[in-house]
Amino acid sequence: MNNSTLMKQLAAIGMVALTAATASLAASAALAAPTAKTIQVMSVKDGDAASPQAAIWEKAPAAQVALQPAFPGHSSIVGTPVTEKLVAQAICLGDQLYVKLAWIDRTANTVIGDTNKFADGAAVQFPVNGKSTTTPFMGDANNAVNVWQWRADGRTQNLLAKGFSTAMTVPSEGLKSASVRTDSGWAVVLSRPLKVKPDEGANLLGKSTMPIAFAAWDGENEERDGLKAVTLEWWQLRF
Amino acid sequence: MSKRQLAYVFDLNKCIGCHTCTMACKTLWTDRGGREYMYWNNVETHPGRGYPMNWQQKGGGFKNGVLQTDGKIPPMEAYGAAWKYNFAETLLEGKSDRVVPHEKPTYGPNWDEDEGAGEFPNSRYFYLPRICNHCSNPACLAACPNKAIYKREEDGLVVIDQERCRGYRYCVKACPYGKVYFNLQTQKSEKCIGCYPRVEKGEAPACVKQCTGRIRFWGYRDDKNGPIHKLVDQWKIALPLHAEYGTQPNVFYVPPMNVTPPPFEEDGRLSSAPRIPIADIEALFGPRTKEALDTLGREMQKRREAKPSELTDILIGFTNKDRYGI
Amino acid sequence: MNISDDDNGRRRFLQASGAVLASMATPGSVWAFAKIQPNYDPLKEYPYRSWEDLYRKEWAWDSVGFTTHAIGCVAGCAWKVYVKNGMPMRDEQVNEYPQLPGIPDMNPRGCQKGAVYCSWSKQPDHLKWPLKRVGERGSRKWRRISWNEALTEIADKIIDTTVKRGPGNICIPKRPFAVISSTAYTRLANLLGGIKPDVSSMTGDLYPGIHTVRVPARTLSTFDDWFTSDLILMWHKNPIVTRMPDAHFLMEARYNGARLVNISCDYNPSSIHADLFVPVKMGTDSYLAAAIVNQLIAGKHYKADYLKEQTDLPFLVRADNGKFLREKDFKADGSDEVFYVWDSKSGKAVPAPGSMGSKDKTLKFGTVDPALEGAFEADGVKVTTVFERLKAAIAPFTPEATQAESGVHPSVVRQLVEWIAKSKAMRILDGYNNQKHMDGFQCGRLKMLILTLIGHHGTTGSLDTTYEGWILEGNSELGAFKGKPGRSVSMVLAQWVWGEQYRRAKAYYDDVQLKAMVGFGVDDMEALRKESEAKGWMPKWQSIKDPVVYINAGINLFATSNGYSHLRENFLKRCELLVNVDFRMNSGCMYSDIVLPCAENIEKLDIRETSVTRFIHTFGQAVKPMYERKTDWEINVELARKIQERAIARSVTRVDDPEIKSAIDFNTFYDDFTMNGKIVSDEQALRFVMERSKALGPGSYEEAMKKGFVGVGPSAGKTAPVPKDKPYRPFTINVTDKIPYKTLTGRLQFYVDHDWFQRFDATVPKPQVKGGGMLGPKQYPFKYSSPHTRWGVHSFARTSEWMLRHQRGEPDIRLSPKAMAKKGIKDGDMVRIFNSSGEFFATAKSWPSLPDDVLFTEHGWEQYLYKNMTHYNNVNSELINPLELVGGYGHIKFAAAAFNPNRIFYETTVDVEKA
Repeated sequence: MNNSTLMKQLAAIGMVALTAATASLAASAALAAPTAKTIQVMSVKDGDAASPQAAIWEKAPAAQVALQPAFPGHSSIVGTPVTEKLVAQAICLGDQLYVKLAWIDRTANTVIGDTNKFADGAAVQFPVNGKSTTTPFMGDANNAVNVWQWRADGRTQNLLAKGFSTAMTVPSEGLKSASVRTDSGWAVVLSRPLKVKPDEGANLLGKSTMPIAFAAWDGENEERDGLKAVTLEWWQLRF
Repeated sequence: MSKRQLAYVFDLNKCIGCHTCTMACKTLWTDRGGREYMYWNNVETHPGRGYPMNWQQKGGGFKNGVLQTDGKIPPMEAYGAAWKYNFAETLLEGKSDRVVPHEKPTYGPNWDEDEGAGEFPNSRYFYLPRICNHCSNPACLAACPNKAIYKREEDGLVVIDQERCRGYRYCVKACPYGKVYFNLQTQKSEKCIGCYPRVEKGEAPACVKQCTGRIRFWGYRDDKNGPIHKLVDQWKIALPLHAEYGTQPNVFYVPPMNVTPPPFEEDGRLSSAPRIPIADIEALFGPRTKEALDTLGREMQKRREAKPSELTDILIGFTNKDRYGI
Repeated sequence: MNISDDDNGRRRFLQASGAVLASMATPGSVWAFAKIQPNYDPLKEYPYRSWEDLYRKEWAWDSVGFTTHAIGCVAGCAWKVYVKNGMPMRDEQVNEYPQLPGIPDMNPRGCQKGAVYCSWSKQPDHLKWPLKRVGERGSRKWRRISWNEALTEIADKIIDTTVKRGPGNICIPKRPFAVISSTAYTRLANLLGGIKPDVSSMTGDLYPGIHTVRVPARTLSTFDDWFTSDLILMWHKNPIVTRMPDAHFLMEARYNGARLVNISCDYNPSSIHADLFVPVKMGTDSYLAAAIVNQLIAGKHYKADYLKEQTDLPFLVRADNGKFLREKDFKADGSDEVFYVWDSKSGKAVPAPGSMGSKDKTLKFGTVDPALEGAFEADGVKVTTVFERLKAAIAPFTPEATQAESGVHPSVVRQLVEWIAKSKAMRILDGYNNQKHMDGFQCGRLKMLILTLIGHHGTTGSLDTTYEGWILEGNSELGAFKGKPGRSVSMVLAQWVWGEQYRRAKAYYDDVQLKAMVGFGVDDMEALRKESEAKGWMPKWQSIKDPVVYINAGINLFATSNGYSHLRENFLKRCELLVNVDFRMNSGCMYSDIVLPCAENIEKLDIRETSVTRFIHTFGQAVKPMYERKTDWEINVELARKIQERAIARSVTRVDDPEIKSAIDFNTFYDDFTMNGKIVSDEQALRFVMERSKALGPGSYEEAMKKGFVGVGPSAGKTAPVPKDKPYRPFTINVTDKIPYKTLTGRLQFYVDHDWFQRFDATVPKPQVKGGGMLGPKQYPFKYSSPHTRWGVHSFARTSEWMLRHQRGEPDIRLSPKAMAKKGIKDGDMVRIFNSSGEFFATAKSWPSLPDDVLFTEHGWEQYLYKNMTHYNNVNSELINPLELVGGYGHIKFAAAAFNPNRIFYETTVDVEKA
């Protein structure tokens, strides 16, 4: 995505006021991005990929994903996210996609045990239409995105959004997660059947490639919502 | 703006600090489901730290029309948890020698009760009942990235959509009055709903209807014959709390009379100084405080001389209908 | 015991609330793309409002019933109870009282304690079934037993005790504050020849001083009458805290032109709403009152015509012996209850009509003009008027002279006197704390004098005590049984003996100090008590009987008295079966042998009568008694049935009771109790009361059940009719219709020439305690003040978790910041409060509105909330004022709930240290 596309997309989703403010950030991020952002999905017939500690993950190709501060999206969202990168892997096992994310987070914020506490989290996002022309910034009015969000307090949510301020929880029985504390942070597996009902999110069945984006939240830094570290453009899952 | 706006006047000279309003609200809305610690309606002693603790220093609101992002999200210790007691263990099983809270209480909704400031016999305090101000320019609404907070167009009540709220707590941070609460159980933010289910059925909010001190006046701002318009706009003796927060509150207060009862000189004779320095009250209700109190004092003097006063009749509020139209 | 929560209703309730929670946690509707439309301005519109049903569904119920909350409370408020799935969910005031012309109405009536009742009733400290002690008394180890087992044991013990120990060793104190609930125990006690203690004096709720002036002492306007006043003195009363449902009348009176004056030793929540705060030193109010009287008289601010007719101030008193001039002074067969005034017109002494001995039952003097002042000679006897004697006695008590005692600057007294003198409608709100002081007796008389001098009593004002009951003839009938009067006692005297309070007071007080300040010591009090009993003035049952069987209903047994642990230990030695009937495990219940669970307020069918409003309030049984609770009436009926059954089985018939010329008929006990089956059910008993009371009558039961309250008719008032269109005000007929008062002199009586009053220099109202202030030993630097609380009605509602969360969560005491600094105590510290007679522990709270020499705690805390099971009453020690032991003098004689020694314990001093 080049800079002008980004600006157009921001304008399209009604973030005109923010456009100027975020332009320089967007520009630098776009320029810094490597050209080929691809994650090879390892396809296997059987095995166990549900756990981040499963042996199978040692075989799956790993991509180093750099994260940037997300566009705030709203004037009340202030602060800088702390997560700089994550390692992403993907396995297709039968009709199920498993995505493993691992990143550094020194403090485990696993419960929202107080009114001012936030949990660690991570998410992957897909354009519902499967196209990279969908803006990765939560989609827009015509192009929805589907987000699988893991939270360290055990809540895994399937979300659909059509732009900033529109994320809605949509029940999806097939979406599962598993997580484990590593020496320095988190390893999380999100999984879901490739095919779901149209209302439940993005269909992944029969795709050779699928755009994917990533996000991480550090609860210790009060990260939630738009205060997050994200990929500013789509990566491609290659099946 | 919403098409109409419900508003409240609380007469602090009538408030007796009985907390019936609080319990009316509590038993109707917040005694369950993760809301136990919340007091959508609370009454605090002023001066005092209030509820949540030090809310007047929590930040938020607007400055020159700009939403402030310096607000704090109060931790549970600033509210005080709804501690539980071991009644059965102690009284029915004889296993404990004392009924005690399950954790050592360190703060609560009324922790500073009656303390105030000063020194006997010249000490001072009064009660400040507080609910959501159902502001015309709500900071909570402005702060919600999800647009899950809105003003109901028919009555201006500010509510949080419990389906769309995602528990980000920007609203908690932004409300300068500390009147939005985070429900740890549902992971959503909640607040006073102005008792809209009652209002829709022609019933006054529980805190208004159950206020046994009869301090609460309620109705639509635009009702020229109603007590809100008369007290706020006509007599100008009801003032918003911390108008400088920029949220345009729709709860107005008749400020407490500050000169009575007179304090005492060192030797015990009556002093001509006010009991409560006017600056203390202006800090809450702004520069129009003195004018409002002068008006009130003047009208009360009329009654002492057996002359009629429309204002004191309104404040007496002889019947429910007089105070809130129902 | 099994305390598992196996009730179906409750389980259903819990399941139901679980379902509510679940639906809150998960969005109910399935997401649809159509919902995502971010382009709206939530200030103006919102597209997704269907979620709003969430809260709408929380405001729902299946049925609504009526209740009132009455344990210990005199307010009387109409409440609705919302019931869902068979469970009482929520209380809300009825809010439908009619308005009297020109007077603010009483809506909404009811405070925060009422508002949490349903919630409180579901706490585990509320009883569910009968319990029998299995460990030591107080160990709180129980076995659940059946009603049959419980009642059989109690019935057998009653029969055994009566047969073996003789009648009168069964004691039944009660205070359920609802008509048939309470009167059930009166009827039981009467049929058993049982001891009926005066619980009013036990709790310190009598006004014996005022009783010498007027009868009844304890009376008041309905509280809406406050609105008609232009000057209201709140004196020993903190109505903002203790009279919440009526407090608005004060504020509204103020807006209507009244001035509010608060006279108190602390700057309390009522003080902050006053136009004048008078900071009197604790316990010295009699000096302030005397200074006010002094100034009213000196400034001639009194209404002579009114005084001549309505008071005994013109009555003649002999100069030689200080006695009233009586008819018997002139005639050998003359009455000693006929008195004289000096007729200025004829220049001679003439009998005053209206006295107890007078055949002329009017206050009218006709052509006689009684002299208020002057010295005269009547048939060679030198006489003067009561007013002259009063003037002489009160003359030394100038504002300047009393400042040392009262701490009130003369300019403050004069400001107050100026307002009193100018007032056109003055009222005194007099609280119980006055008569908890030794000098409260005289202070009460002085307060009456203040109101009377300017002619407001019975005309434009009133001295309002805390409450009074309406006349309900049906209730009297329900309690009474011909030929079976039972045994009344002063509970203060009973505890003085049974609880060894005499021994405790003697150990605590310094007799030298007492004698210097009041002229008698603790041994003297004991001797005077015995003398009073020997003379037949005060009942003697405590000296010759024991509380072998003690059935305690609705009273927090030891909390209401002094020396909690001391009293308990000594009392329990004399008690072989302690039965507590209550709806919750209060502290006293912990020591029971058997606990019987009575119906909650929301479960009973009854009414509450209290004369602070013109309304009788309904206990409308919003839900039937849950678990195994029974209503008080039902419990008494069942016990009566069991007594008769056991008596017949054991061939016990009649036990004679010659001491009270009565008998106990065990074999017809149930038949007698139920009037041969006429008043078996709660409804029968309640209808009996209501339909046979003139002020209610037929139809009133139905109206009460339909509306939650019912107004009383004119005949309900004891000293005046209840007007249709105005607030009730007592003693007005004495002024309008010249009806004599029920005092010896037939007037508002300010002179008492009883030997003991002469002996203790108290014939006229004037301070009794020399130097003013506290009688407690001076080695303890803090005066101990433990008044009523905002957070309970005594201990009622005190354990509500919502109430506790509005305090510090555990018992606290308050000290001024200076006192705390001096003692090295910080806010929140655990401290030990002590004196030679006891100790307790509490957390310290700073209160800048206290003088530095007062230690304050609100009363009503349960013993089990204190560290080491101590209690705020552990340190209290009581005294008896001999003036309250007097009898044989017209209206000044023992009367339950009217005249007998009040619990005087506000003279206690304590010390405090960091625990």
